[in-house]
Amino acid sequence: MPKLFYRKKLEELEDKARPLHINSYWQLVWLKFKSHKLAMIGAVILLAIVAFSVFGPLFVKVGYDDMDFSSLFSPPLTRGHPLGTDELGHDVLVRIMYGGRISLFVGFASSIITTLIGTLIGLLSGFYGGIVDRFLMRFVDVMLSIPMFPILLTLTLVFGSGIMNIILVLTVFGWMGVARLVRGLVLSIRETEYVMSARAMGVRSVRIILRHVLPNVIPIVIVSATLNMSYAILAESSLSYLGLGIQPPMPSWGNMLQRAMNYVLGTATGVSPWWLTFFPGFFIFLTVLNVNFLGDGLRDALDPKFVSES
Amino acid sequence: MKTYFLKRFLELIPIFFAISIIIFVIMNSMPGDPLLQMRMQNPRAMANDPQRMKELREYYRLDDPLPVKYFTWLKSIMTGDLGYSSMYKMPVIDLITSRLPNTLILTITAWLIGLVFALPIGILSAVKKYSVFDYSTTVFAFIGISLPSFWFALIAIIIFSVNLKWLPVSGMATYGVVGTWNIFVDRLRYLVLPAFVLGLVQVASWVRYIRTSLLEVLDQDYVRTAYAKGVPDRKVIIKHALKNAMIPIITIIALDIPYFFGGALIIETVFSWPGMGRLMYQAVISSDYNLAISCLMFLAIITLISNLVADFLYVLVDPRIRMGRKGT
Amino acid sequence: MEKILKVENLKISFKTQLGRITPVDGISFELSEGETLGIVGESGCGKTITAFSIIKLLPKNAFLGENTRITFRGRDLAMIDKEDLQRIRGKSISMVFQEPMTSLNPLYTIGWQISEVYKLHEGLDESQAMQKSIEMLGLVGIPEPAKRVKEYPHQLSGGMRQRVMIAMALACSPMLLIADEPTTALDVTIQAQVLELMNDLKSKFNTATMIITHDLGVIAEMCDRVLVMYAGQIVESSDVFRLFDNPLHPYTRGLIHSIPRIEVKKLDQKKLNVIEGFVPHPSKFPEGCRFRPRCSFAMEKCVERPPVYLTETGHTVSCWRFEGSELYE
Repeated sequence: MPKLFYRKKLEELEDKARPLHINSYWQLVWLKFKSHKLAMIGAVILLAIVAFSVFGPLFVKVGYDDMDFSSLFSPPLTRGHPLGTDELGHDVLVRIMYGGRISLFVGFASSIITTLIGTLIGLLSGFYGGIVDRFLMRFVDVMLSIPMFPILLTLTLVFGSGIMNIILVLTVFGWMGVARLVRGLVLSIRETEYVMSARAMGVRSVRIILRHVLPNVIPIVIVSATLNMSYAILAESSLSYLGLGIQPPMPSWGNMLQRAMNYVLGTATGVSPWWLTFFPGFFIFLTVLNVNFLGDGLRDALDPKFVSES
Repeated sequence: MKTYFLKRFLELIPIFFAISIIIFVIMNSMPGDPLLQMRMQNPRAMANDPQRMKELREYYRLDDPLPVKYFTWLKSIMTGDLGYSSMYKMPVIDLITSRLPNTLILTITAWLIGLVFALPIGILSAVKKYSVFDYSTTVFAFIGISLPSFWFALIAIIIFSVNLKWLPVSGMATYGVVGTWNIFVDRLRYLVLPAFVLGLVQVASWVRYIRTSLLEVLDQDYVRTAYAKGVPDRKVIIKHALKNAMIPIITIIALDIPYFFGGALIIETVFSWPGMGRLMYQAVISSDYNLAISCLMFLAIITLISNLVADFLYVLVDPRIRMGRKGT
Repeated sequence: MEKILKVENLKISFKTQLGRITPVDGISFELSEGETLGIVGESGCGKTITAFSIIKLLPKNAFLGENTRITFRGRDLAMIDKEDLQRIRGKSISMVFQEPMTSLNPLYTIGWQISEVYKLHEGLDESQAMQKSIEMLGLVGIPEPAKRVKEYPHQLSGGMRQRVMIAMALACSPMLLIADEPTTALDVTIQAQVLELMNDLKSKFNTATMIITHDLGVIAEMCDRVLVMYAGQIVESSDVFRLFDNPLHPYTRGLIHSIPRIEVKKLDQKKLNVIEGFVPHPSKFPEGCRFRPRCSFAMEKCVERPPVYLTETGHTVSCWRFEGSELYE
């Protein structure tokens, strides 16, 4: 940013001097996170969506499979159907709740597993170096050169659909980014003086990894996990949309859109049920958006060098 | 410099083979017996005759061990024989060559749209850091990377094609249009929506990246030196800072090319755009083995090529790479 | 001799997420034509920020105090507008920075980077500027300047790069040169060469120079007068000989005594002299005399900030031990 300031004097600056009672790293992290408005909003909305999906169904009397033949293709705000119904009378709101459970679960689970695997590989690669490192990184390069989405498609056919299989598919091809990041970080930590002196003193490698390397790697891992989650949710919904992910009758936000696609141009009666297209996708969007906000806030908060100028 | 490219090219060859192995293994793990499929598609020609089945199996070498199958396959694709599509009943290579231009039109247009929007916006938001413009750009960028592309496409169709009726819903061309200019306009009308949907999502991720890269450069000592010399702001940003930021920016823009093809898969499906993406999707769904595996390999090659393209662009920008890092 | 720079009550504050911090807290000094002023202090005392503030090379969240005035040849740099500032930078006031490795743009030839100054401030065209750049390179002691002018920074060694920086800075014969730790990042032998070069050029161009450093050796080599800074304030100032002969402020004494010496009579000394403690962070400056926590002469009175005294020996010093001397205005 241009390092110039013209005609500014202290009068323009309110005295916001606060004594710095920062006693620990995590206190500083929390302070920085709190000041990131988008991240705070993101966290709140995300929590709301999770609560909505997990606990919502407990409060409704209808199931996602129940058909209300008296109101097919009802628009939102019809009695009993706040978000409308689809072509078989399923209530959209309820389906979104259940769909949320699935999409959130898949996203969360696959990002956790992916991050764990990636971190492990990155740690091993970075710390032990040598042939192990070269082999693993070559492997990562190869995997990254394979077109991601088409392969995901293919893998769903190999493994089949269903929640666990989708998680498996997303995991097989999701760990590379984390692995690379972690490896890079480990490499630089390994060359720091405190690690070198620990090794010189004969501390066992595992202990070094656990006590010195891991704590420094955790911030980047947390951020990676959140970003991974946003990708996982998008990928799962894309696959479901294409008919390959979660199969009906189990609702997922993605496969709800697939059904909706048939009616984009309008139903037999000429009505264009926009709510069938809008709501499921909107929830995907909202969730991913807030996960991204959260991830961004976490990244800023956890970065030790980052103290922003307001 | 030539040695640099040669070296990079040689490095890519083992990667190519490794990719081919992985793709081959995955494709061969797909459930379904090809012979059964053939029979389903052509029941009369393939009567339920076990002897004939056995002969066919031997002819097609279906029971060879995997490595043998791999090398057979490798040999044939190296000679340009990509096999026969079971779904379209055409040689795969003809299918690909006929669809490829369509995908190229779509992806290149989307790529250009991405650049045209992302570069100036990214640069401006870095220069005006923390301004209203910057914050709104950041919010739009977040929105962009969070949008499911197919949903965005569907909403766009609903708004622009169904409700406003400005643009067509799907396909690539209207039948029966004559006259070069009319044809051009017609094609453009079909191209607009898919290209923008594909491109705008990229703008979102590029804008943030460009902003970050430029900010990082603006923090460097040599930028401070430029200011200290009395160089005016605009010149500092364009001549001193931007050129240095181009290195990471080129990386992301060139290496994102494969993602355009992947994203095209979804967009082409939504818009029924007759391109390679849609072809690949249909191939995988219908277990059209030859077509699917050829499309996958093709994409892999595009990825490797875009790596080389990125390298080429680096060399243009950074003299240190040009000179092979002589000196400290 | 004309006074070309007069800094009055320089106060620099930064607005950060954690509140406001003021690393430079009301310092004043002057510089005459052709004079070399040294500003010395440990890392974190605010000397580099002081140097940068003269030509306003500070980040956007930095602010100057209300009463700050930076008068350069009659103009107040604190209130100047952008175009005028850009005209002064590189032409009337130049800077040389600490890290020659990173202070040159890696993507342009050194010839281009020096020529830029000529094209900008003297309106020369490409070939004229290049010609003068070659001359300048020769002047700073780079062999075969016509050949090297087409090279890139990464092809030069650290010492050469610093010479290029000096060439760039002196290209338009500025009245004032500000050098921030110019030799700190260089090998010791190269340091000596570069200092010699600077001394040479200084007298040739009659440039007033401000040298920021933590190295007392550099001060001794180069400076006419010295300011000693601690925690954002000037604790002592004097001409260079008197400073080394008779340091008054406890901090200055500490600095000078902590220079390791090889003299025989000190052989019975077991440990190196150090000043106990650390330089305080700008957000945690002590009340009153800021050096008090580390001062072996601290008295009760030191909880109040001492005024600046002017002693008969010509030093200014900010310490209660000199109460009774004339006050310095």
